[in-house]
Amino acid sequence: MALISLADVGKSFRSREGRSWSAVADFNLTLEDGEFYCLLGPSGCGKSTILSLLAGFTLPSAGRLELSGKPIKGASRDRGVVFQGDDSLYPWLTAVENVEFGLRLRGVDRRERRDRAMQYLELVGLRGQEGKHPSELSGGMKQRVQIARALANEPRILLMDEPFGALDAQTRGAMQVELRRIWERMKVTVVFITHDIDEAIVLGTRVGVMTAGPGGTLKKNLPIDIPGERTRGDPRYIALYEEIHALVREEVLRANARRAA
Amino acid sequence: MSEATRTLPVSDTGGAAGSSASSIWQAIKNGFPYFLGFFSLFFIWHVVAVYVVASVLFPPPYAVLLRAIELLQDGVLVENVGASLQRIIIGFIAGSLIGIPIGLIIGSFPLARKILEPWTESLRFIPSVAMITIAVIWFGIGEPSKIFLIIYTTVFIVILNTAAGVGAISANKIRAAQALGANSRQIFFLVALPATVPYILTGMRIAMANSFTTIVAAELVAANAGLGVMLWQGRMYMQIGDIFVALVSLCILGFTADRLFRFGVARFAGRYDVTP
Ligand SMILES: Nc1ncnc2c1ncn2[C@@H]1O[C@H](COP(=O)(O)OP(=O)(O)OP(=O)(O)O)[C@@H](O)[C@H]1O
Ligand SMILES: [Mg+2]
Repeated sequence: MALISLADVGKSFRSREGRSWSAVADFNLTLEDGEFYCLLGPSGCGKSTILSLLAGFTLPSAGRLELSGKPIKGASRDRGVVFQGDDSLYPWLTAVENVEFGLRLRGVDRRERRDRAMQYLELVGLRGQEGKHPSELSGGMKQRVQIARALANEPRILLMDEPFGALDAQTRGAMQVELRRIWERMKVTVVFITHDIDEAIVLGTRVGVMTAGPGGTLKKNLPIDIPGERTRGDPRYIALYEEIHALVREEVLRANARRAA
Repeated sequence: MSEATRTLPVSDTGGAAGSSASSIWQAIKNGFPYFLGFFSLFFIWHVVAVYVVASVLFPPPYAVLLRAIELLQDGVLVENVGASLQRIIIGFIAGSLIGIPIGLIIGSFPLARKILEPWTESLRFIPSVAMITIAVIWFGIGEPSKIFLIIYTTVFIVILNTAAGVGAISANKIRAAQALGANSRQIFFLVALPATVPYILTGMRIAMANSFTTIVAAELVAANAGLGVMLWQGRMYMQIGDIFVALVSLCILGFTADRLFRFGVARFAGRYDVTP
């Protein structure tokens, strides 16, 4: 049985004037345990909406969302979330207190949770910054605190919304390597939203490209079976890149045309 | 040029690292403009009183100081300041203790908001000064009427700010906690409450300032002691000096209370991002 399945999922929002706006429509996808699924698509096509449905923060307006065969009814500890933007961190807590927040909820004792939080902070390259409050951290550092916070809770599924968007190329590269390693070691299933095609190819086992909104839906799924190191020199890499690029480009143009109209 | 621009950030961190001589120097440098401001206040007061107005109806600072010392020595000033301050503190604390939970409830539950808002949104427009007469009729001229009025002054501002604070919590803060496994009790105590603290403190600070207005007005109308009484008796017996002592006391009390509050906010909630 699939770990996650979305069948004809739709989500509409009601505008202030009362009109209904369809963010995603007829979205179909199944994810197997252990996948690293990357979701691409033009801005506003509904990627974050899909993630929020998977997390259980919002319920679908149409269709069915299931986790191990059971409908998703709300958020839970088995699905860790890394949010787009940094307004999910707690400004009154230090970096390490933010990271250990999930363990604290569970009543893990102080010493142990501090140790574990420190390990994850180290993993995201924030050793020495543990005593700082979010307001004292850069955008990229805050993003990494978020990642450490989600990881420290050891979820079965990791939902990440453009987690490396705010990082410089070097840090981003290092974080990609780290995430890939964590995925291999912890056997988590990852849903990863990005705008970066290279990132999707380097990280993913499968890439999905969405159509432009309104009513964004899945345009195409592409498996990435390039074993071993994935480098830009590899002809399979290049072919895949070209294909994804063309798909995304088409949708971005469509989105722009729609906006102009 | 480049030397100067370079030394600036360096001396910043150096000061924080704490060679004590340089931090004292820093403190003097920061404090001097304030000193200058206060000095000019008294200086201009002096000039206007002595050379411009030149009337017994407007005493200069040193005359007020001398009178203040007299009143301090015979205990009148301490008694009156103490009376006003005690009323403010009791009413302010009680008002905050009532206002914070109500604000949290209004901010958290839409149904509670609908039920309670007609109360808060109508009663808060009655200035507490307008409640003085009814307070005296209900509670007499003793302490209860004053404390009632300060509570009245405090409670709505605290409710409003607290509720606004709850409303301003970003959805992602709550969602993050849910995804980490928090139950609703944990979300309330570990996320919603701390996220609202800066707003609560802001409300309390405004309420504290308003309490001074209310207490003086209430004491002017009906009381046995307090700064308002001092002001009233000053008029009755033409004790201009006493009036000025009371006015200056209000300046000092208000200033000190506000500073203490700000210091408290910085000390206990500085880590709470005050601009959420
Ligand atoms: N809470 C909401 N209320 C109303 N409309 C919403 C809401 N959330 C999202 N939308 C709309 O749904 C559409 C999809 O939004 P979503 O945030 O999922 O896009 P996205 O693909 O994540 O974009 P980006 O790449 O820019 O993050 C947008 O048109 C957006 O305006
Ligand atoms: Mg998004």
